Amino acid sequence: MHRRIAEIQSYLQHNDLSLAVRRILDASLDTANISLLKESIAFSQAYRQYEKTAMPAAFFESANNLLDKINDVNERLTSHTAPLVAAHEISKTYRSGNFSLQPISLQINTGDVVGVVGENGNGKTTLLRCIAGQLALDTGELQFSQLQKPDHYDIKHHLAFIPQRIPKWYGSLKDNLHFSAAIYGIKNEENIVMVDFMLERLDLTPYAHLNWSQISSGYRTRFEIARILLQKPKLLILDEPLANLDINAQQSILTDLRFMAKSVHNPMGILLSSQQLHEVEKIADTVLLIKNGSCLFRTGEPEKTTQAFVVELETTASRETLLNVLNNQGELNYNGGFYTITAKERSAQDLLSMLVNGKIPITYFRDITHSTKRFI
Amino acid sequence: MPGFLKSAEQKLLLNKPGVWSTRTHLVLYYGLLFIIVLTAVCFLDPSDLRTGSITPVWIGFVSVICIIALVVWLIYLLRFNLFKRYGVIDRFYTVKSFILYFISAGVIVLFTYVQPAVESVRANMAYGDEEIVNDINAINTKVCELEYNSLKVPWQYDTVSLVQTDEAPAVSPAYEDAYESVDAVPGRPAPARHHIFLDSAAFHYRAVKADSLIKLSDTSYILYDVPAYAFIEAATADKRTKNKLLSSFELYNKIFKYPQPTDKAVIRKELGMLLHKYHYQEDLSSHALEIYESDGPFDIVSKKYHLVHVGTSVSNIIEKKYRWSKENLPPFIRVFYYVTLVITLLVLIFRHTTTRTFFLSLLTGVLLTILTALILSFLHTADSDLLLALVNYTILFFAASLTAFYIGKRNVITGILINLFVALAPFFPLLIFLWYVAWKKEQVYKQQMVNVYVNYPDLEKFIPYVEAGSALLFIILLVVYINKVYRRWYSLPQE
Repeated sequence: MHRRIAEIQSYLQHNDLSLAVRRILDASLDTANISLLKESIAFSQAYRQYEKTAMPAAFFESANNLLDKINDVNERLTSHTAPLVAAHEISKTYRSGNFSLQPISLQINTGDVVGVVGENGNGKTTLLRCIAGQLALDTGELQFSQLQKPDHYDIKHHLAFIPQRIPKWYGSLKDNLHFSAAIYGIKNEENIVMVDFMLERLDLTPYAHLNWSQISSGYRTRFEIARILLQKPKLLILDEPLANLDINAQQSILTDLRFMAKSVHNPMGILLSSQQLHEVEKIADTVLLIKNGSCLFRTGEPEKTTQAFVVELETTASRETLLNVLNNQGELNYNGGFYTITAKERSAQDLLSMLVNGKIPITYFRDITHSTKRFI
Repeated sequence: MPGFLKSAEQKLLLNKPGVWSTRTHLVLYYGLLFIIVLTAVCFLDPSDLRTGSITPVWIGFVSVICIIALVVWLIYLLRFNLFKRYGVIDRFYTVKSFILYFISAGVIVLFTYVQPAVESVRANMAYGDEEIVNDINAINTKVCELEYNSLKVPWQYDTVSLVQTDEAPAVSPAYEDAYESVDAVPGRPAPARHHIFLDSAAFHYRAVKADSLIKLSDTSYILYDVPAYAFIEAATADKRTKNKLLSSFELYNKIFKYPQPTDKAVIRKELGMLLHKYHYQEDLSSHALEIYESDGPFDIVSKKYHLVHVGTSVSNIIEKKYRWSKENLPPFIRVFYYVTLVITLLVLIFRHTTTRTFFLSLLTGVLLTILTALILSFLHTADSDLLLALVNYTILFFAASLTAFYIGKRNVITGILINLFVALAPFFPLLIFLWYVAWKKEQVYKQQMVNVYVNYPDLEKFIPYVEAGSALLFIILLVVYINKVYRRWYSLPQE
């Protein structure tokens, strides 16, 4: 049995049903089998029917049947990584001269999720728009490995950019999804199935008949993601996709994006910007911290993080109590919300032990030694 | 939306998104439906066919509906744009879109043609071609027969002296005056209207129109005109009929030259029926009232039988009947084609450019037109110079649009230049041809100013071919150039 199938069965056993349904949809998409896809859509629709009641045994039975069928074509369930886009020392200065993006290099492969974090006005969107081909570069170049002698239209066809403020759509949401799929070559029955799939996958089926003004900004973001995913982009660039989402939706969208990037059906690279450092760090392969237009830090650069261990914590204890417990083995800073402890000798684990032993009431603790957070 | 249209809509959306997004199928269906309804309404129009046409009022009313239809179409059209979403397009995408926009705009523009067409059909159904010619001849003949005594007047004549061109103007003022009406009175000698001086060309023209001519010497002639016995005239009525309208000269020969005994009571009755058929009292034009107020024998007869009213009614009917005749058709087709083309071009440009660039292009076009007109008027230039300026602008805009292939950033100026080129390209061969015609006319005019008689070449007959060639060239340009230049420019990164 394929590892992915085993994982899904485990979710089912432990009643993580929502996750199991989403993974079944993903796995059936990767088989590229229309009838399996239809079955899994029907299965997902059935799940939503029973969602608020107890799940009948028939639900689990049909889930296992579906997984068996998917397992039969499991040779398609493995994705491969391939270079997608390489940015070499790209920089950009606006004509008004009030902001410059300093030279940045970046490599994105299929299946990669690259996060760009940083404070407002530091160049995240500029970097994303440069890579999306929306802004002309002052220096450097972009190489799209999977395109041969592409013109700008080909490049923009090849990738998709979702801005923070999603432009308004007109007409019904479902028509927009059908249209988006059709203009990218998904025709006829496949178009219908893929749109239904995407609606199910992003939990949008109940809203499909509505129009733009009838849905919230969070659902607009989801619809935009659904629309873009139907275009099967090789590179998906999202500017602040989490800005309009609630905490649960942020979590689920990020994990979905992670899975979608590694999809066998349409493996893609994902580049996203966000203010939610920890959420992004959880799912991203690489995270870039942009400050004043320069890349201050990117995850996976040990030389910048091995000098000291850093943790942040939230506690009701006073600064004096904390300093007593630390006993000069760490530097303590307070930003009004969190305490940050920087220690050269003591690891995060040791620091936690010291705090617990010192009977410090901890409400929040995070090791940010390798996180971009320590540089902000 | 009916079931079949819904299903067509769904099929197009799933399989032909480029076609679906133009909404041509909806415009065709609802447009044709509206045309059918409008046709029915126009057929129910109670207005009398003998009255003046109310087409201008209808066109004004339907034009408002056209604008509303156009706005509704644009609202739906502008929702989805395959090109701006970087969808899969082939080299024929732009030309296919252009044709679909043209069809949609054409259906909407066609609304304005419904009432004139229905009015024409109604006139043709009510009055036959031969019937109307026979009736006119019958009215004129019967009036002459009934009023034989008062209408038997001597012919009027002009004495014409032939002169060299440099001795007198090509057409002397006296010749123009010769058209003044000088009524003859029965029992009196024929009045000599004028002694006029004409050069050979003007004399030839005048002699052909005269009903009789007496040569006094090599340079002096008397030209006779028969009195206007054709009270009801309709020059175009007999173009397609076997029977022809009788001219005043033919009526003279038939009634006055060899008079036949007639039963006036029967004729009066028949004439009464004919006049009743065509007589429709409505406000007359000032010219007609003028005739009514004069007191010559012909005017008295005209007044007696209400012939001005009858003549006006006949003209109205004929105008409605032959509105779509071969000779009247080209202007209708041209108005339809060019109005549709301009709408289509605006839509095409809007769909391939940014909103800002589109409106700046419109502004540039207006400013450039004003500037060019000012410069040309200050320089006192000829017609051909305006056309030459437009030809030069087209070439200039084309050359400038090529820069889109060499620049690395999308800028507004290049966009404007591309848009202006696209706007002028469908007229380019026509502009060149019209410039050539205007230039040739000026050459001929200059030669005539130095007394050299030059035959003016009849080039206008080639205009339809040039227009067809212009359309064809534009279609080719859409495939080989315009789609590429828009694809390139629109996808370029911004500043």
